[in-house]
Amino acid sequence: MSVNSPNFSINFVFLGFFTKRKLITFATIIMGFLFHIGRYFLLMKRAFSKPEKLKVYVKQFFFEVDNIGVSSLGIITIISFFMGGVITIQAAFSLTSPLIPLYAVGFTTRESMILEFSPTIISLILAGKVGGNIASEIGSMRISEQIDALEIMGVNSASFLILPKVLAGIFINPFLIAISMFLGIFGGYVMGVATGACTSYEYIFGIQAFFVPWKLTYSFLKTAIFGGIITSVAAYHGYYTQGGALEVGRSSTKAVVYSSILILVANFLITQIFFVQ
Amino acid sequence: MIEIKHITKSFGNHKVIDDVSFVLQQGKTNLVIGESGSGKTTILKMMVGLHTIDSGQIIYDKVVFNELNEKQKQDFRKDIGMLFQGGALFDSMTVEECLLTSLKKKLMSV
Repeated sequence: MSVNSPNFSINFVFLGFFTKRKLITFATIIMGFLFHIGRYFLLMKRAFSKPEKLKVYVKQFFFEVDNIGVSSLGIITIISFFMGGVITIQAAFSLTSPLIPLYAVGFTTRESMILEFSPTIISLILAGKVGGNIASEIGSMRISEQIDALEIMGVNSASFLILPKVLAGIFINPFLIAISMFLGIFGGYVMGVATGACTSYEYIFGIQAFFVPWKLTYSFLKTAIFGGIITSVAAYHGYYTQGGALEVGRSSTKAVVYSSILILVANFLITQIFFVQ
Repeated sequence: MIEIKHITKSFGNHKVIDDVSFVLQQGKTNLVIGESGSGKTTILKMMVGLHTIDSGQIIYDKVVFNELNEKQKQDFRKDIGMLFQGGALFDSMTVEECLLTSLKKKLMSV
C-alpha cells in the first residue's frame, strides 16, 4: 500500500483514534461487561440448584406471585385502559382516507395492544415497579447481613431468595399482560364509542378481523421471558449490593435501567426470530 | 482446634489482611481486638467462607476449610454459630440463643 493511497490514510486515522489510553478504557469496559455477565450466570446457577425443602419454596413462590402480580394489577388496569383509549382515538383521527374502512380503528388497537403495548410497555413499567422493589429488598438484606446469616445457617441464600421470585415473574407476567390486552382493547371500545371516533359495530368487527392466533403465542412467550429478565436482573443487583442505604438506592436504579435495556434488546431479538423467516 | 495459617486478602488493590496466622484452642474464649477497618470482621467472614481468601489455609480439626467446594462449605457451616454486628435475622433473640440456633436446628433434624 502506498502512502498516497486512500486506504493508508483511513488506517492512519483509525490507529490515531485508538490511542493507548482509549484502548485501556475500552478494554476495561469490556472486561467489566464480561465480569457482570459471568457473575450473573454463576448466581443463576446457584439460584436454580435443587431446593432443599420444596415445601418452603412452594409457599414462597405463591407469596411472590401475590407480591409481584396481584399488587401490580392496579397500575396495569389504569395504564392499559387509557393506553387503549388513546390508540383508538389517534387511529380514528389519523385514518381519514375514504379508502380505509373504519373497522381499521379496532384492528389497529388490537394489533398495537397485543403485539407491543401490553407485552413491552407494561413489562417496562413492571421493571420499574417490581424490579426496583426486588433489588431494594434483597439489597437491604445484604447490607444488614441477613444474607450472610442465612449462609451461616447452611441455607443456599441465592436459591432461597431468588428462585421463587424468578419463577413467580415468569409465571405471573403473561397473566398480567393478558389482563392488560383485554383492558386496552376494552378501553379503546369505551373511548372510541364515547368520543364518536367509531361505532360499536365497526370496532368489534375490527378487533376480530384478520386475527392470527400465533401472534398471541409470540406475545405471551416474550412476556414470560421479560418476567424472567425483570426479576433475575433486579435480584442480581440487589444480591451484590455493597455499602449502605445509598448503595441500595443505586442498586435499585441499576436494576431498573439494565432490565429495561435488556427487555428492549430481547424484544428486538424475539421479534426478529418470529417475524423474519 | 481452628488453625489460621498465613492468610491474605485484598479488595482490589487494597490489601486488608496480610499474612495473618493464629490458633484457636478448643474450650477457650478468644478475642480479636483492633481498630475500625483493621480487618476483624473480614477475618471472621473468611473463617466461615463468606469471603474467599487469596492465600493461606483455614483448618478446622485437620479439615482444610478453604479447599472445600461451595456445597461442602454450606454443609460444614451448619455446625457453626455466628452472630452478626446488626443482629441480622434474629434481633429478638439473645446472643446465646442466636449462636445456638444452628445447633438446635441440627439436633431437631436428627
